[in-house]
Amino acid sequence: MKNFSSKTKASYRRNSNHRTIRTTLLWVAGAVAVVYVLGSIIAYLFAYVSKPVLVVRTWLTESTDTVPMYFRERSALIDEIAVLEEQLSAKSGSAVTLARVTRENEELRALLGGGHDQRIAAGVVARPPFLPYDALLIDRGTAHGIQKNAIVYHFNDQAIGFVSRVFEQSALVTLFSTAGAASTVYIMGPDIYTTAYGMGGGVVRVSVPQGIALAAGNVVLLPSLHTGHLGRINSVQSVSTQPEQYGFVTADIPIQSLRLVSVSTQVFEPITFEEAETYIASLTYDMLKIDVPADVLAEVGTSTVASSTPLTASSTPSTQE
Amino acid sequence: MRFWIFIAVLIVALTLPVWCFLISAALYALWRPAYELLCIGVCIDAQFGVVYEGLPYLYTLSAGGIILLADMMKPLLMVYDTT
Repeated sequence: MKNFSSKTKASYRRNSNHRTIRTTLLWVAGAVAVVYVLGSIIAYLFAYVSKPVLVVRTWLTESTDTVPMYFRERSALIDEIAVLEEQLSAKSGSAVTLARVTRENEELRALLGGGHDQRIAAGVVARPPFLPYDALLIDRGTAHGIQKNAIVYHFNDQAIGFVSRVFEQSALVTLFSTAGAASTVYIMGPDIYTTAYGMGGGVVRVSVPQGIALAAGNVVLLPSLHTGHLGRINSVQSVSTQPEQYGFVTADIPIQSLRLVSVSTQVFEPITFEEAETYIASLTYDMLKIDVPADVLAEVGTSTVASSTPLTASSTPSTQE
Repeated sequence: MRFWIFIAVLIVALTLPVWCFLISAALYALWRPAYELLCIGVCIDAQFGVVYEGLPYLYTLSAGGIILLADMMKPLLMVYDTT
């Protein structure tokens, strides 16, 4: 009887199902192992496939060229009168192009002008939510001088992430807001060091003990970088019964809106706490100083100050005579 | 035919959010045995999977799960019953 039941159709199907499931699990395990072991090589090769596709997608969805504009606005265009529609679309197209070029010009000036180190401007090809992780794909790679572990900025000095993988014509930028990414930060206002943790979705969380005056708007610096801040505290979550309070830091511009970034040509190197202290001190105290000509500046030791000269920069009591 | 549908799934995976990939992969896996979906997962996770928390195998494991579910569901769906 037992021998018979093992040969029935139902039993055959059950055994076949088990075999299929086992085979599938083996394939999945093998695939994960392949990603783990050969990930770098596959990523390098796949970059040649993925970049053109992502560039086309960006062109279709964001470009103001005639063809993608036509496809995006086709349904609206059909409903309008033909002649007026052409004139209107031409005018609006010119206005959009003008606005885009103006905005791009401002962004490029902000990206490249007045920086402390050399930067490489790069366009963002793919960003969340089209990428499942908190990452950006930029259109510059080793061929343009991008190096692994270089810091990536938005505008002049807002550090948003670092280059985690570099390909010949593109690079992957991992954002500081990636879930679990930890970084030492300095919060201006309460003037404390703490650790910031990425929460995903462009949000970074800092946690400090209760009693510290954490407030929305506090600037959060990255002392490990000689230029750049992480952002501002957007909101504070404080429950008096809890031992700690949380501040949530977001970038000035949502990551979904990033179009251009600049990449440092220098590779990030870790610094010591003493170096970080020196940097913070220079920011805290030197940021309010300006270069005042010696004949205007009234300080002890300047003997040529006329009595009618307004005291513009110093409040030292000895000069108030 | 199968090759071009596979390319379409690959483009969906690259250009649209992850849930679009899941839907298209599920349809593909219900249509035919679809171990090649793992290739898409492997490639995307290898290139974009840089995380600090959790596993950077979102696409690979999703593709595997879909293949597994499709294989388990096929005997239960009447459309596959040709007898």
